[in-house]
Amino acid sequence: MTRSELYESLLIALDGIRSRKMRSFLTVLGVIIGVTSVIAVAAIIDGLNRNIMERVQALGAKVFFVTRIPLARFGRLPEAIRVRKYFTYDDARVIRESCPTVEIASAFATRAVFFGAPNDIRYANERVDNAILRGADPNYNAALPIFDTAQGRFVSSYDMDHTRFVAVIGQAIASSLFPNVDPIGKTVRLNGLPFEVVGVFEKDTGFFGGPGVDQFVCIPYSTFHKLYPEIKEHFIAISVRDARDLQAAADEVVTTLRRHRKVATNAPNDFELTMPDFLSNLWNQLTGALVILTGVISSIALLVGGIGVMNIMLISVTERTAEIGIRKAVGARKNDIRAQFLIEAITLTSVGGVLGILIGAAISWTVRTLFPALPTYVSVFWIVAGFALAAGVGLFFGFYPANRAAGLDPIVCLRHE
Amino acid sequence: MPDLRTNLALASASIRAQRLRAFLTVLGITMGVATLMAVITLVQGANTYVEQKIANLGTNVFQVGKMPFASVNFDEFMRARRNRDVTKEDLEALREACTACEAVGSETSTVTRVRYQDQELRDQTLIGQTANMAYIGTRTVELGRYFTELEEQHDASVCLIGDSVRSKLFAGLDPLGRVVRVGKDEFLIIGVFEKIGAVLGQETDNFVIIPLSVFLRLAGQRRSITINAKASGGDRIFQLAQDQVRLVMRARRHITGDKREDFYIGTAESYISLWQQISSSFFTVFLMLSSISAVVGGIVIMNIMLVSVTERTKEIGIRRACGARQVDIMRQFLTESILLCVAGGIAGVLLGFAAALAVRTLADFPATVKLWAAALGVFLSSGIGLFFGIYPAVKAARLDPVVALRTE
Repeated sequence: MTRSELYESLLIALDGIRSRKMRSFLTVLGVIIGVTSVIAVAAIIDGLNRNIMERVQALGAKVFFVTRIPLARFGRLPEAIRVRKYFTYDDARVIRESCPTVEIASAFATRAVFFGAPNDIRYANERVDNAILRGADPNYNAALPIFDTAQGRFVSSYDMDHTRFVAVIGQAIASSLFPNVDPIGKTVRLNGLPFEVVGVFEKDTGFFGGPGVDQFVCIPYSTFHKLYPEIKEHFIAISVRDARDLQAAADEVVTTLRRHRKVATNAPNDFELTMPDFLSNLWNQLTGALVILTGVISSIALLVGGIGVMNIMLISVTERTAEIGIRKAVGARKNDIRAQFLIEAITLTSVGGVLGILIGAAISWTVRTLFPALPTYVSVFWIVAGFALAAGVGLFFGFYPANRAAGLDPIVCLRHE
Repeated sequence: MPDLRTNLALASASIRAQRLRAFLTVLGITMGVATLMAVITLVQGANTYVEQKIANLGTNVFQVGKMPFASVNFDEFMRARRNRDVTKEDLEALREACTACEAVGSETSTVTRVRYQDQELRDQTLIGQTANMAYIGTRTVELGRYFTELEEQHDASVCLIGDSVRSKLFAGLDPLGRVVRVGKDEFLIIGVFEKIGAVLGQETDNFVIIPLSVFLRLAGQRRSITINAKASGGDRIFQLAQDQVRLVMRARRHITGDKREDFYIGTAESYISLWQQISSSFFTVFLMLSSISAVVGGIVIMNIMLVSVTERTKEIGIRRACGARQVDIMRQFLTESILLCVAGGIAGVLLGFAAALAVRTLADFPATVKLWAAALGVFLSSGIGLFFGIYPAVKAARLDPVVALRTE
């Protein structure tokens, strides 16, 4: 088909649509509603996913964790996991020494409600309960950039070597303890013991109700271990220079730890590796079924709209039988007739697709403005997909009517009243 | 009413005249209604699942414990950890004082290993129960018997095992009368429970039940127990029993006035309401999304009816010329659109239920088929037919008979 023929078909299609305004509008309306619901739902889901992705980025794509117990697991831990050997601070050194790809290996321990006991931190008359206390070594925040300080400094190796009583506190803690004064250099009481505040972390509220850096207090690991020797659960954060080395580093760490912890050759690992994508994996695992279900339900409307298109196209073919006969009589081939009706169907649904995308984007914008907790996001992918879907519906549901029109016998057509 | 019959005859004749068109028109409604039905059935099924499997306390039973029974509030959990333990003394006091309660029992649990000869099962739940939990609880003994009050009082080393313990340790054997090692102690098996099956993917049959007194002796007295009280005889008695329990517990813990209670009372209702709290927003979204396709189906109907009116202008003109009033024409077309919609609705209900049934058979999910949902589906589709049929019908009725007759 040449370009002029295509243009001709398009003109005929537009003419056909224009001549029956109400009918075309209603036909398109079904497609519009279908595309709108797909786009709006995709925008909400995309928005939530982006939230997670940002969090993953913030944690860093170059860091993974080694733990004794799995980090994301529901229900009671089986005995085989509970009896595993604890990690020690020294294991981080072993990893540093025997894994060449690893840049930083930093062991840390945590004291919080589920790991020992809750912590309270006081300054003057102000008090914060439920702070998460973490003993970290000086290169901890190099491995986990989310723990960067906004004010002051992080724990130094001098603090570490001399078991100093210094603390870096989260933004939320800082603002409730020190509403009007500069926290740096002040002495707070952490579980009753005096600590000098040397730094404040950058703001991080955490997400979906989970704790963020805002609720953390970091003290030198040596001090932590001296005060709370009963806390044996250690985590090791491992970062590599380049995200591409991640898998190599993970393999090295596994080999090293298996040897170091004397795991038999045929036994499974007695520790867990948590790779940077665990958060998004967990999220997908939790919401995957819901997302699929929502997607399926919202696309059914589009399908119903497509059926409407098919029905109207069939009627249109019947009504224009005489016209088809004349076109055939003056030399139109089967392909021309087929193209004419197909293009009409696709034009209808494409118009619906464009309008649906616009309305869907408007809805998602409204949702974002009204509910800031739902950061909807209309991605280019879904705009393209929405349009392609609409055009595809036109192609699919227009094919049968177009074929039927093309297959008509010109003589019968011409005789048709 | 002969008028209705005429209308029906006319409608079905015109539908039959255009089979493919009618089929496609109906298909939209069918898919919309089918989606709606499937969603309603799945939602219902999920609710039933929660009611039967998770909030399964037994009829007229409520619980008293240290921790909240159904809560997603993290702070509340944190606070509750410092609550005073619910003890055996509390149990005794409630047995004394709760006159509205039929039975007051208790249970508590921990994790243990179970061994028989050379086989050992790890991560089994060890449950300590009072003897009357046989009456209060929902587990049914399949083989053998429950332990008695006397056995409980005398700290008898007897136990009952769950179905998975039986099948793993005693495949092909009769477990009754055999001795298993639970933790470090030996117990005589006197009963086996019926299979419960997995709940939320968690195995629930991997347990051993021993008398509460024995449990406390072995696992230590310093732990909180969960008291289960049964009070049958209507809502008033049930409420009265809860009030009595609350009064006794408050008195024992010296909680006066509006001071916060350091114990929780849980009923099946509290689980169900928590579930509804969590799930209602999802379900609303699902229902809204699925009703969108029903609306699109309605638009398709309207469009087709409009076309049909245009095509049959001449017929309308003749009918009007022969004495049909505007109302008659309107009824004719309304009947046709409603008939289409109802047919589509019924097909949709059937299809939706078939989908739900398939889910139930394939995925062990109680997707219950409810009559009201079916009625709703048919009602909804006829509503759609009425709503979207009005405009075309009015348009048909308003046609000027002279002009209509003249149309080619």
